Amino acid sequence: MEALLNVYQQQRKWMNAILGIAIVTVFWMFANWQVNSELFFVGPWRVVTYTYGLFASGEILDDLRISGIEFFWGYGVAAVAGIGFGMVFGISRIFREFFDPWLSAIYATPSVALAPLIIIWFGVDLTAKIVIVLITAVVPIVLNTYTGVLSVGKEFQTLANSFCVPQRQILYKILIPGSLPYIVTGLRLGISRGIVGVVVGEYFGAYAGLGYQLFKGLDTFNMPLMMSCAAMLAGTGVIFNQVILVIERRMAPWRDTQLQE
Amino acid sequence: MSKIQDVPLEETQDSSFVASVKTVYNRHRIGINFCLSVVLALLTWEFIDFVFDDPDFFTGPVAVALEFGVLIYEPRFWENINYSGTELIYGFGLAMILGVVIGAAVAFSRTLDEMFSPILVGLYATPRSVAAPLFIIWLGLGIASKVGVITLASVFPVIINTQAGIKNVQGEFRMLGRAFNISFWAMLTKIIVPGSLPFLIAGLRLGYSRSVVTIMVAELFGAEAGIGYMIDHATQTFHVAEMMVGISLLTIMGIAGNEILKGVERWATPYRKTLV
Repeated sequence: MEALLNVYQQQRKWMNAILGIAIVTVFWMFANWQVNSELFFVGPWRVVTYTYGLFASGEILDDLRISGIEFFWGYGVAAVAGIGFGMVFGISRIFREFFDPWLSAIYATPSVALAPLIIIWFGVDLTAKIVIVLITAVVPIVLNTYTGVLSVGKEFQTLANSFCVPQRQILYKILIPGSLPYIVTGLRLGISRGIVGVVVGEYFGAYAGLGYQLFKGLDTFNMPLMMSCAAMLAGTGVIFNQVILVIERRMAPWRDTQLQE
Repeated sequence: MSKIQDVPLEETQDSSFVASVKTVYNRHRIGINFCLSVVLALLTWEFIDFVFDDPDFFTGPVAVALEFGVLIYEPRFWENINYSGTELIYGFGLAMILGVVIGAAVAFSRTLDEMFSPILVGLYATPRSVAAPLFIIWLGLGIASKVGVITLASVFPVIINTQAGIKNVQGEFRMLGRAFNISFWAMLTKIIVPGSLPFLIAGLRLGYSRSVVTIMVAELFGAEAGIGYMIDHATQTFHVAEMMVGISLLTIMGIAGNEILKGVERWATPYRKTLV
């Protein structure tokens, strides 16, 4: 008992984290045992086995491929365009003053609400879904890059100016590294929104995709399918988020990231 | 990044009219640019509409304004607003209460923090709107499922910001309080709450903007009424103007709530500048 307590004291943080997950899992299992109907709820074990079954039979692979294409094209374009526009807005005073009302309006508009319109314009094929992912993911990336450039201390730029550093080097050596934590935050927020974009896009007439499977589950009361699709989408969000965090720690070790929006 | 060379020094040699226009422009630069920007946006929007000239696919601001004028006489329109407003108030209200309680719990108890913070941070990063179809099965097509989804979507920024705010109250203030041997209640109301309020309100603003977005997502996947339902229905029947009215309504809801919370922050925490 003494030894056990010692181990707990030493590895307190990890033990508690594992304990927390265990409590949530037990609560989940208890809820499942109480509901006891696969039409409404499934336990954690069933979600794991069902997901494994989907992979083993290979029927989910096509959906993963389609959703992956939508996400990567949409998110990729959103990242490039978002960082580019954010930089321009941050650097150019004319642009900033001129487009600031537009940015506020874009920030306040729920971009998901534009999804039906995108479907009208682009049809129900892959392009429309990519555009939906793009417009949902791009907003936080633009806004965070813009805020990041503005947050770079003026004294660094004054220093560079007094040493006659060329503009291009100011961009590479000061503005981009200085705004990197904000850009990364924008990219992380964009991931979660992009995944919502995938699901919303596939709601409007798709033939494959994780969101499509989710709605198929909803229409056929197939709860295990829905929950494993939701778990996969959520897991993807967490994994990509961690990947970006690791990249940031490599690229900008001088600042530790804060969760912010 | 204006350099020193950019400042025009020979401005006075212009003719007096141009010079006076420039002076006025320079003085009210931000305001004038704001108005120009809005006018330009509306003109561009109307111009695109003029080029496309197909009301089934695109409508300009004039058509949207006219449509709004028609819709305000329809009781159905007000029902939709009422429905979504109720969802927002219940959903965001629940998120506020739960968020502050859970945030305070994990801020004060180290064990709870170590147990649940990894899970909370993980959930903060996941797209919670994917749970919307699940909520429809659990809670039905009515208002309850939307309230659930909105609460789930907006509770995490409130939790995380409450926790960060309470932890951020400087140690010296707490030590000062302890040195004067003030009661727990005084510590709470005089030191911890005022110190964490700016963070808390920042969290509420984030949560609120998420709530407004989630109205749309939640109503998209099956609803009886609401602004999101109206947008979806209008699009499916190619009433793009009505759809645009719906989107504008959501935007106005977002901006109005945000401004109200900003006002609350200015009123409640005059001792601190606004956190972005």
